[in-house]
Amino acid sequence: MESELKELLQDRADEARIEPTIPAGVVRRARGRRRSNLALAALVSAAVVAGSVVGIRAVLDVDPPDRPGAVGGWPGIWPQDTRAEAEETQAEVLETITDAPPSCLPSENVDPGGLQPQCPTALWQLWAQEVATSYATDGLGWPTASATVDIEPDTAGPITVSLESCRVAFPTRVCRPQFRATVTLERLLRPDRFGLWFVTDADQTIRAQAAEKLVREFLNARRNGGPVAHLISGSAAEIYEKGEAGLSLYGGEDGSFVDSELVDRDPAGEDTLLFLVRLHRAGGNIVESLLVGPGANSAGDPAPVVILSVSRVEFQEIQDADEP
Amino acid sequence: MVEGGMIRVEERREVAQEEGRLAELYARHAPAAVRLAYLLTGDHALAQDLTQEAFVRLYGRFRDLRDPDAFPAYLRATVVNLVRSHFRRRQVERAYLRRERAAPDPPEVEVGRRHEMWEALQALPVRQRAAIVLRYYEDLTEAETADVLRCPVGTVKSLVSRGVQRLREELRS
Repeated sequence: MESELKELLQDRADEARIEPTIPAGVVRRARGRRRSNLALAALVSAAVVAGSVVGIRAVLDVDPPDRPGAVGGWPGIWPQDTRAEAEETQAEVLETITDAPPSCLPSENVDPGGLQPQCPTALWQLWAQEVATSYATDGLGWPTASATVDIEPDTAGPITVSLESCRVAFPTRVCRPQFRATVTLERLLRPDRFGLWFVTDADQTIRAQAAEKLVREFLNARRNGGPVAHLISGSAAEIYEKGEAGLSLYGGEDGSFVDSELVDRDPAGEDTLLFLVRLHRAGGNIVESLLVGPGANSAGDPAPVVILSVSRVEFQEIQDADEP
Repeated sequence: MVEGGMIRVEERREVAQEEGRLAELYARHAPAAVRLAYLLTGDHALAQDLTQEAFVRLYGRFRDLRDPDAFPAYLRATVVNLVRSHFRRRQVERAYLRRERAAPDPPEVEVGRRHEMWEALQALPVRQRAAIVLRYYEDLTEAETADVLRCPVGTVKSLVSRGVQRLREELRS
């Protein structure tokens, strides 16, 4: 498969051609971009020289501006959910800014889509679009996410961003929306282009991290012979009790589980995730598929995330990527 | 006055030198960049547009480039990022899909498994596709791929593994 893929890529790549002479239009656009970069650099330099002490203090000042409604609690829910953590990150970013080229900072002349690859990665949170899409992929566990954010560089928000995950149907390539969410973003610490964006509200409550934590706790408990009733739903508990498809909470006759690993994670529905886990025991490994989402645990208590259902996966185990 | 004129002459000479260097770099590296962009987008015209845009963005930063040998890596990262940005933009994506539907495939019809594999590759999420192309076409290591995609090495492994797995499944079905 891998060699076939390599050969295909090589052949297809050979089909792509471009004239080796640079088009005049590209040179013109490059000149224009260079001019605007220089103008921006001059502006930034002038600002720094004019107010070296006051300016730097202002840039490094992370004292929160007065925000109605923010008193007494931190309204951010992602990526930092405490003020202390957010302020620490903001301070780090402000230090990084002083050495970063102007093109790495949000401005009228910079692509609002996100951080360019040559820029320090620490600056990603200065872009609303990056924060929104990262929330979808890292927070909600979507495979991909798209969002269009068209705002002025000094906008402080709150702004509402619609996120969409698109699954391209095979073979038509028509993009069908898979998941949708709406998030509210706000620059909570600085109301200008140097301020980090935070997610302050979202219409999807499940977090991939919370679900993953639950699954790890579940696996640990099974290895150590600990209680799991608070982690799984009544129906999942029943499946284990009946031993359907050879499923067992603690390993059964084939020996106790000695090790476990989380193999994969995929969104299953609007608020559920599917985890693939592998458990090791003397009598042979077992791969399980766990559906995680909001529900009641086997004691009947509602929980934001719980293992709703389980099934055994009996096809071949997923292999790591082969070396090309 | 004369001094000011001298400065302007110097500036013009510097700009001319930079543009000469841009043309040279374009002649040398644009073909490789357009091949990469084409594998990532499956669209010739779009690949050319993104390649040209990458050069526009990199122009003016040449003097900051301490190691001229680093230019291809710099260009590669910019192309990948532009492709990702492109697919992130819904409006542009829709226009692309409209154009895809309007423009039929080239007349030479490639049938069978290879065609299916190409179609399946183009249907992968852009990050999986980028990881596969960087690993299998550009022959980058996992660490180098992680660097281009700005993600941990473990994520690269997962992207490639899941991408290849999905290709296998598509071909099986």
